[in-house]
Amino acid sequence: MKTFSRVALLVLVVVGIWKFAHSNHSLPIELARLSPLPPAPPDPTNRWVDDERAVRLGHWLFFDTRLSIDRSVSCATCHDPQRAFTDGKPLAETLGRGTRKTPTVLNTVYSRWFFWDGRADTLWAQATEPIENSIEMGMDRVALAHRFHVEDDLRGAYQDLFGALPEMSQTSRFPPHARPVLNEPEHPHSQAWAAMSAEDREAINRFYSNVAKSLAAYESQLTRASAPFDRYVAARAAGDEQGAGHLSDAAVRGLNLFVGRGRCTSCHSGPTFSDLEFHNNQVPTRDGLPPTDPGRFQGARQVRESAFNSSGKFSDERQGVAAARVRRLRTDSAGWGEFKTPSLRNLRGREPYFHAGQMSDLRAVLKFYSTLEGASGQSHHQESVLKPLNLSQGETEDLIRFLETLEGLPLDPRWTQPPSGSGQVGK
Amino acid sequence: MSRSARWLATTLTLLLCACPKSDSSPPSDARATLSQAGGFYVRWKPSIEPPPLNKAFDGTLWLSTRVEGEPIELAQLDVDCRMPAHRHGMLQEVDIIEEGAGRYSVRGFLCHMAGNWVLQVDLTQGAITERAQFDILIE
Repeated sequence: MKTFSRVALLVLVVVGIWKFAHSNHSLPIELARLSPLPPAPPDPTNRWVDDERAVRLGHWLFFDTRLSIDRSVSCATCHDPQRAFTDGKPLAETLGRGTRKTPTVLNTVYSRWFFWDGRADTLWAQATEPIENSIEMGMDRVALAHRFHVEDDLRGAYQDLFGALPEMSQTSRFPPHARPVLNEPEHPHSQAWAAMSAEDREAINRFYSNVAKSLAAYESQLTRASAPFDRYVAARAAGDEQGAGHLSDAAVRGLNLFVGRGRCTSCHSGPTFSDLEFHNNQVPTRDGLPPTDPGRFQGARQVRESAFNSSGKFSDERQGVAAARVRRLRTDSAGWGEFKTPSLRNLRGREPYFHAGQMSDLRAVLKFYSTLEGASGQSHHQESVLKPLNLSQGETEDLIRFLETLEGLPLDPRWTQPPSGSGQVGK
Repeated sequence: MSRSARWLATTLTLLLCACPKSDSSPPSDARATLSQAGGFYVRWKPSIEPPPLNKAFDGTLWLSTRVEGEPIELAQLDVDCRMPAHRHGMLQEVDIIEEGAGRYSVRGFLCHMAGNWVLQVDLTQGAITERAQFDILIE
């Protein structure tokens, strides 16, 4: 009996040592940080964000081409729901051609900053920009107010929610076109804007921010969570070391590489798989020339100066966390050439990748991180996070299998198409 | 001393012992270091232990001329966190609020990446700027 006990004890010790040697002790804490995706954070700067009427109006407006100057372009033209709310193009292309890739709107409600350069600090402030961008929708805020004034359904839907429009019938006070044009005081729109009274400019800005807040209320619904990876983590948390089979062996190898040797979580951290901040990854430029896009350097300055930032007059919480973040923001040249870390959730359909669509697919992205071939150099910035990963072909495939497990459950179909109804806003 | 006076004295002593130290005193678990040239002594305590990854936190500094020295008031302070291995720092600046008796509240730290960070406390006195540093591990 004594011998049996000793043998049993020896077996237990050997098994224990084997299990210890073959377990990945860094995995559980890394997993817990990456999943689950929590509920969307509140936005106290937008008091309409949870208002169903604002969501409904924003849903209409998102698909409404009347938000563009020539009635040809809606938000959904570039943020196409059938393409993961992007346009599939390397560079945005609507009324003109942009210099950056159209980012997805999916899960963007989790962002700390908006646009590749973070020049907006709230989802609603983001929405104010494309409408007036001459190569996107080409509209101006005063012309948009006129359009809301003359189109019965737009006027009715707006006034039901936000109250009266500015007195747009008084054309002496409200010219056909006017807006502040950044760094272009001689632009006719700038001059017309400057000629308006301060009260009228504020009334227009209030209208414009309300429109943007309703768009943000709709966009806040566009979240996809509960990916196979999340179900795998939940099963692991419940004690099932196999993760209930939610990940293939290749995907598990990819996960271990992602949180281990690949050190992908240096930047793609947290449940959004993004640190929500900015880095200069030396991604090759499209033309192979030295980079010229200032990225965060310019974006940080713009968000500080924006009339629609979270500490501004049109924010519904001017002293909150978001406002402090903008006030504390560094605007020095260390941010030159930095771009926002994109979320890796729901990558399918978002290709090409990177801020200027430089890489056609995930294999190309991983090849870059594996070799740093064609790296554009650090320019002003000295960040040195990247080291060549030297991935084998098998490791590259494993990482792709893992990234494929980050596809969340599909959106509610009602959000992926224009609202049903009579074809008029709010009807 | 009468019995009631003794009771009162005992109660007051117990109460004084039970009361927390003045807010301006550093807690016993505050980390401490001398500046690199020994010109000042600083103690540091973050509002969250350990400091979190990619979440804002605050901290408190206590400055004195040396260990057990005089508090340094009206200091010209610069505080930052850097990540030497990555050659970058935080993407935002902190607010420094003097609270008296050598105590300074520092608000708005945000260490957005995991790894080894260095808290840098630069004190400028006249023409001389001296630095004290603390290692911070963000996991």
